[in-house]
Amino acid sequence: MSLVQVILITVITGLAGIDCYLEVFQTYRPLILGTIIGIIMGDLKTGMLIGATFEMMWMGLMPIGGAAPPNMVIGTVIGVVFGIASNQGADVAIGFGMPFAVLMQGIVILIYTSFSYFNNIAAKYISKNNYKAFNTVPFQSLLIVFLCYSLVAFIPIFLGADKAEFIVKILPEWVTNGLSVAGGLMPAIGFAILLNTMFRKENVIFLIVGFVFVAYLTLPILALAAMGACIAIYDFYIHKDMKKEPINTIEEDYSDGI
Amino acid sequence: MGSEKKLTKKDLNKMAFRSILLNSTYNFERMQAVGFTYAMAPALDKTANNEEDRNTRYKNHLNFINSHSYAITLIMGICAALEEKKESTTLINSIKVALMGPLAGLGDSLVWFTVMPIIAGIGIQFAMQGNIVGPIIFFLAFNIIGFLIRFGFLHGGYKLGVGILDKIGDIGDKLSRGAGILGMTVVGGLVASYVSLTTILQIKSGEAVVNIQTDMLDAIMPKLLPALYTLFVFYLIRSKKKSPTMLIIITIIFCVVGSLLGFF
Repeated sequence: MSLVQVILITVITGLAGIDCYLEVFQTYRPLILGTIIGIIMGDLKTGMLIGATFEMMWMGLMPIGGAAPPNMVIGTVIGVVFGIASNQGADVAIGFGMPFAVLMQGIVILIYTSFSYFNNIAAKYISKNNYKAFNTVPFQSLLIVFLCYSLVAFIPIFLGADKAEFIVKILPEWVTNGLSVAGGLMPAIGFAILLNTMFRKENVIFLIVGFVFVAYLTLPILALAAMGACIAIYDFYIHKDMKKEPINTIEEDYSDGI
Repeated sequence: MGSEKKLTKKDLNKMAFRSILLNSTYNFERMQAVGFTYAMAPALDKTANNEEDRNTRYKNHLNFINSHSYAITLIMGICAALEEKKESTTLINSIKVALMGPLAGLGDSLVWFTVMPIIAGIGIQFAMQGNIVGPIIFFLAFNIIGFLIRFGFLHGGYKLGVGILDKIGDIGDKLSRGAGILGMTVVGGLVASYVSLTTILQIKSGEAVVNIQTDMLDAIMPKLLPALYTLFVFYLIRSKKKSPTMLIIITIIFCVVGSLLGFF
């Protein structure tokens, strides 16, 4: 890896980190970030494949309500860089990325805690009627986010990218095989977390419908989504009509009683 | 004098644009407070009676708020209308608090649990075939929808003004129901197509070799093991309250040990 590549990856990780903190453009999603890192590494296809694999795993790990899942930005960057440098597949790349993703998760929790400081800074500027200074507060905090992400990506890539192949060779085959099986199972975690958040007893049947259509009939997701949308719209109409009926019957009961 | 302080479309667009930085100082203490105030700034600057009023209004918005990163612009729009009418800071604050919860739920179920899995699912399918269209579709589709919500909700919120509380409860309930059905169907399909687990175990009895995966499990139900493992993880989350990190560790140990014992 050349120094230019290292610097480019460091800067892009910092920017993706900012996007991840803001949750805006989704350039931090593994599918997109993995592709970008792949292009810098000179292997778009592998970067995209690893990104897509990571994407499935993280699909359910949304940072909702202040929860901090293992960090997808750092996980993706380290996974793709080492995955391409070591010529291993996507599943092994997850094994590389995961320890750093968990490390970054801890750092993000530290950021969430320490950024209370900016509430006070903002309040102080407003008390002094210094609105110009107030407008700089979001950028002050984002600079810190940028630096944290860049640093966490830079250190392992700068020190160890060339050693990646060596690390993989040192591991016995049952470990790499196990990691690769784990890679195939990781999406289950994402989907289970997703399910937990959107779980409603009466909707479990639709989970089974979706599973059956794809497992037995190998229906593409888009076709399945279209079908699901039809059921949802049908339910909407049914539900709308049902809401009116009970009110009518109650009124009738009253008149009968009188 | 009143017409001078009317907010224009341009002011509202400025707010929607500034809402991009909503999470910039996200913290456990007051969550999106600073970012929310930052986004409200154009409206506050324009509608303030005097410096003292402006100061009070700014400080009022520095209170705790936490809602969906995109849908929250609906609250901003409503607040902008209330600021324009010079409603009391107490009323504005209580409306913010009343709306942030339901709106977070609606936004999460619409954006994260419906739009995201569908778009990601389509993008992944292309990417897995080695097609660069995958990440591009993902990026474009998500951002178009995201910014439509961001700007649409802000303008809509402004128009709806005060009488919003009943309406959002009604629409929100129906939308979440439908979104739940659609989301569940898609997740069921995603489990079947993307979670993979097969065993290489064989049973030998004399001459006959029974391959457990192809001869037994696949005959019972395709994708049986992935479905079972997903249910197992779901059980760990729901009943045992395990954290995502714990689940990842459990999964890795399960697979590495299984690989050592010759299951996979």
